[in-house]
Amino acid sequence: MSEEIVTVEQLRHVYRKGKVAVDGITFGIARGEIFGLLGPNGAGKTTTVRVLTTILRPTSGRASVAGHDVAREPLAVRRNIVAVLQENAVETLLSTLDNLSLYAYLHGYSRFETRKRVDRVVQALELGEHLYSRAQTLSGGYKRRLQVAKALMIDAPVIFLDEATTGMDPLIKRRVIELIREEADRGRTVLLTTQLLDEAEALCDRMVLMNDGKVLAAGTMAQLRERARKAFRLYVRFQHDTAESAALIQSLAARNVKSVRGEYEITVEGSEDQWIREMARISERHPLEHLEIRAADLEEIFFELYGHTAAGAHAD
Amino acid sequence: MGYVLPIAFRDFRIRLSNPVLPLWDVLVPVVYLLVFGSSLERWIGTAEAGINYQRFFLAGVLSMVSFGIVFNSSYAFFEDLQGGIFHEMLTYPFARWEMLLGKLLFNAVFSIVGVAVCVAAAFSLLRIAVPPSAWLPVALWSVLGTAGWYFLFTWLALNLRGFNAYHTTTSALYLVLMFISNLFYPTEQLPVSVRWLAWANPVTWQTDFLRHYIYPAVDLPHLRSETVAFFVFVVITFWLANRKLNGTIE
Repeated sequence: MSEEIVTVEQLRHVYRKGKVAVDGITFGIARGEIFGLLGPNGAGKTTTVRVLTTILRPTSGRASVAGHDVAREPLAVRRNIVAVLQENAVETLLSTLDNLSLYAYLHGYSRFETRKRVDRVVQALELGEHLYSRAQTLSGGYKRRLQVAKALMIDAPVIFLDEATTGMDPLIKRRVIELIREEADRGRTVLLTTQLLDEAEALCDRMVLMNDGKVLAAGTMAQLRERARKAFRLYVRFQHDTAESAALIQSLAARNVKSVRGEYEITVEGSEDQWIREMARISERHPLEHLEIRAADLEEIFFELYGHTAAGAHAD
Repeated sequence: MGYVLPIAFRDFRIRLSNPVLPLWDVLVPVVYLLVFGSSLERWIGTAEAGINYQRFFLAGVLSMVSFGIVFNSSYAFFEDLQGGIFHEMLTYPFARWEMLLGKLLFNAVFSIVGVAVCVAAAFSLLRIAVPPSAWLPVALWSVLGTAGWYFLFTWLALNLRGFNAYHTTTSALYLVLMFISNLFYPTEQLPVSVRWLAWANPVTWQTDFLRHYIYPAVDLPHLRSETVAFFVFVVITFWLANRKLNGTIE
């Protein structure tokens, strides 16, 4: 692995009222990597981001960003980061343009440089329509877009994105994902938390799955799949779909069965061999037109690791 | 220090997005001076007793300017906290003391404007002149006063995170600080039981310094120790606010 730009070692954060939000987590992020923090509500992802961005101090353990300890050198850390936090942190009384300009001034850019950077992000994120509208009149999705635009104006080597695409329309979301990927290609490091598993799967080079303040699993998508290799999906289509074949599918010891336009999507556990044999047996009485086996995606991995439905396992 | 001006500019833009509020901050002390001061003087006849109450009260009004501006602008902390911008600002590339000084700068400039308006109103409407030799110390002391109160209210706002708790505490504090002080009357006229509280009140220390320049006829035996005490008050409140900002703000 190349040089680590974010290092977290046995990090723990306990809130004033005694709640242990982060409980001894350890991970590292390499320069230029897109790293995901995933987990259900209260997993500790946002607290981790807040410690790494120097808003909260670690109770114990240590964390460093760009070689600077978050507790001992918070200012040096802040000079190397830019953060989109979970809240819609915009200056509600100012226009979109003023929000962007002010953010650049507060990050030390000159008026000339600010204008250049504002023009670039306004174009990239299609913010022109409400450039002169007060932020309090903007939709949640637009405010989120403005947040991301602010972060993309700044050249800090590490970008923190806490559920940055929440509320965005799909086209803009795709554009944001492309932009994040471009930033990583330029060597910037991105740490993102998301409740959208497809987004994490599309973007993250590596990720950590958290629960109750602890790291449940960490690694690349392939490594996580390996951890959850028992879970996979079968896509089955019969030559003649009948009530009997449907009942047969429903009787399988599957975790979940969905039927869409004559095709069954069956989430199962066990070995592939076992299920190929099972499908061959079914095919003797009800010939199959199509059989496909797909490895677990992030949703299955969540299911496997958290032991409950993926719908309930979505993030903070 | 490079970030102090942009931070002050930010507060300037936010506060002036509704010009009525700053106007209110400046006008309230002037109204106090013109209505309260004049009415009281006419009613109790201080002029006949050789006391110019309005001149006496002017120093209190100038204290009120910095105190009032800070009191009102401290509520902006809650807007920033609720809107999420406060926590975002904690991730910006400047030191927390720069954040404090930037926010103070806006309030300090604003309090100088408020003091200038009061001094101008006193001269043009009441014929009370503040000598030019007093302008600089009065301005500097107003800035220092604004600093002390700003740091104190920042520290309170960050400790009392609930808006209701903050509102209740500061409203009670407002009454105590304003009325158990020498702002409206000499402390000797207060009931004995609360007089010690007035002597320990930083509003008293701040006002006595201003009164020394505006109404030298008034005897101020503790001026030197009060001046030192007020400096200490500003340093301690800065330390408290900076320490809180550098700690954990959940």
